[in-house]
Amino acid sequence: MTRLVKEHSFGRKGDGAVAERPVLTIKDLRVSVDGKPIVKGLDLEVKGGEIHALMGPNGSGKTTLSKAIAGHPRYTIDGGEVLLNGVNLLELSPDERARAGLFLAFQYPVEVPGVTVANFLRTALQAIRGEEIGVWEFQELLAEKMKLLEMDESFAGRYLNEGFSGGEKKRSEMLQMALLQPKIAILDETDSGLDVDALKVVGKTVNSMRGENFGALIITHYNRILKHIRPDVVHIMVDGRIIRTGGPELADLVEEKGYDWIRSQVA
Amino acid sequence: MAQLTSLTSRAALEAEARRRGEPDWLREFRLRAWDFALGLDLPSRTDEKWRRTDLTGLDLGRVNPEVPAGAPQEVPEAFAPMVGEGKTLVLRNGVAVRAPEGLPAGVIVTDLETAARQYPDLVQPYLMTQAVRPEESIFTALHAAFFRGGAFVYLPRGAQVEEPIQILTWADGPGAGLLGHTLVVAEEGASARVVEYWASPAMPEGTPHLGVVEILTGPGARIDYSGVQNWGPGVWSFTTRRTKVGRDATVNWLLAEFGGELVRSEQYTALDQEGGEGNLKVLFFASGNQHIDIVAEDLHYPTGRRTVGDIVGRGVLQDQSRVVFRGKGHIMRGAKGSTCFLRENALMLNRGCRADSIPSLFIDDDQVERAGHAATSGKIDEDELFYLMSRGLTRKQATRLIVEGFFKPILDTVELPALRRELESLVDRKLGL
Repeated sequence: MTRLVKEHSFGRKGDGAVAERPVLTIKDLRVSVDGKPIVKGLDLEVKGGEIHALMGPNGSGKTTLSKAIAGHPRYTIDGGEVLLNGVNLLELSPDERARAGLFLAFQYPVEVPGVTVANFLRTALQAIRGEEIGVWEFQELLAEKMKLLEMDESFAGRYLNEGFSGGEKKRSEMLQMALLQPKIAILDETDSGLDVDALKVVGKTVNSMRGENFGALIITHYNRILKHIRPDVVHIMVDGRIIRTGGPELADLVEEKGYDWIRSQVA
Repeated sequence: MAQLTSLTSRAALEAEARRRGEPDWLREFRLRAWDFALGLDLPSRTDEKWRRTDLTGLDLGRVNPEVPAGAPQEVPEAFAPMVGEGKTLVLRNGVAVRAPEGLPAGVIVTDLETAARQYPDLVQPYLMTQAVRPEESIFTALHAAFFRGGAFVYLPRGAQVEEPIQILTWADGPGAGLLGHTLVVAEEGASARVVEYWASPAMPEGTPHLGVVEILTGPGARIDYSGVQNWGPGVWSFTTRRTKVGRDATVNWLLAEFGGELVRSEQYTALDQEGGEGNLKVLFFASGNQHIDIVAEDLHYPTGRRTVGDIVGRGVLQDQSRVVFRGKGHIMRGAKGSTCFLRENALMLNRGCRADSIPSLFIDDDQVERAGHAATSGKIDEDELFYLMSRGLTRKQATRLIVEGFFKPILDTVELPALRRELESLVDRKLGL
């Protein structure tokens, strides 16, 4: 499995990059929930400059994988490693993982009443950067990112995700990602329930971040989103394992023939 | 009754009132309350309303109406940032050390003892006669006998006060500063916003505070009142607050119980006039070994047709603290077309603390507009914490954000920036930040 991934790791030229090119390495990861094994030995490597798509039917373990990588306490790690530039993320708390450069865009972002988007984002950005950020500097940065995401200014003053429509929640996730500038981002079904305009915005955000210092793993059920974000590598996940890895054409194959067909090909 | 033996005698109480030059009616009022208190016992835990609060060790003989010797007569340092804002009255140990200026004609904001001498016609008809009465409990009776300082806010007919009226009360130690009485009277069509803040340093364990707040509104008047209790550790605080809402009048009141060691806080919205509306929010943040026992009741009397009562109780607990929240709505027979809602919500930050929510709703009329109650109490949401932590916030930072968010809707009603900052920093101090 690892070998296959490496064949497709065609990163761009990155000579002269200031920061170390990020690499997220998942080795033989096993995760269970309430004693039930969900992820059953998964290998994957995402490097800076690469966009990977992880596709799979419902119940294949995609969300469990993303939550486990981010460190949700409900998910038990039964074995394996998750390394970000050699640092074992599994030994870190969720906030330490974020500060190491990991970002998870939630499928169902949590509502936090009474906390404004602006207040939250400034607190988060300061935590990630490890330094105070002046109010004006922050406002400018926020305005710039909100413009990119075609968001109304009033959004910054609303309570985080409270009363947001499905589309607004996903935009809010993309705003957070654009602002926090992670090294590796995992987008957990960010495309689900979005209309075409919102999908375009998600695509635009991810594409704007593409580069040597940013890698992404896009988890999705359908290939709709992949029309807006061209993946370099596509993985098919079924029953807790990656059963096939290929180029963008694999996503089209899924669209055309369905997961059952691919499963039958592998079996 | 044994608890009162160490208190001053009736003769001493009378002599003290004369020495201070109090009007005859007030002296007589105090003596009647004193006589009444002598016949009362402390509430016992066999009384359902007191079942969850243990008063063992309470010594009401420690109620002390004296100003601590050598106490300074200037604005306390803790209030310095706040006095520049709003129309501010500052009371230190029951003595007014700063009075507001530039109030609209006829509006009175002064300490209650001065008001009783200068405006007896405005004080006597209202002082513990219509809202809170001395006979309610041993705490209100002793309060009536011994209250000191306090605040009197009077709004004549149609008066509008644009800037918030701010009443800041400080007690340097056991004594007169813990016996304040707040009386707000709004005549027909008058409106104002009143913000009150009580604070003190730590006191010897079991130092009693006996407080009463009364808000009386005439027809169509509107009062927005916020009161924050932040006594130092050691204080055992007993407060009774009641608003009597006039015809088509509105009282929006918000109370926060943050300080003290043992706190019994009772608030009642009395709706006995047609079309009156009372919206009560009670907040708490219990930490350490605090025991906070809150009673909040909406009483729709038979004459209170089309009245609206709403109670929201919200708070946070941590460490070994305990909170009892007893919300009650009562629509009596005759109060047709009324609305009554109760909501209670407690957030526990760790194991070891305990919140008891006891909501009750009594409906004796068959034509009620709407009524209902809901109570939730639970641990801090792990998914919420995880979400915030996944953005780089430490567990402590995430908890702080959630708690701040929990109190934000309430803090938003405190418009004066300095007091608001004080309350925000109070929340942070509680969280150990």
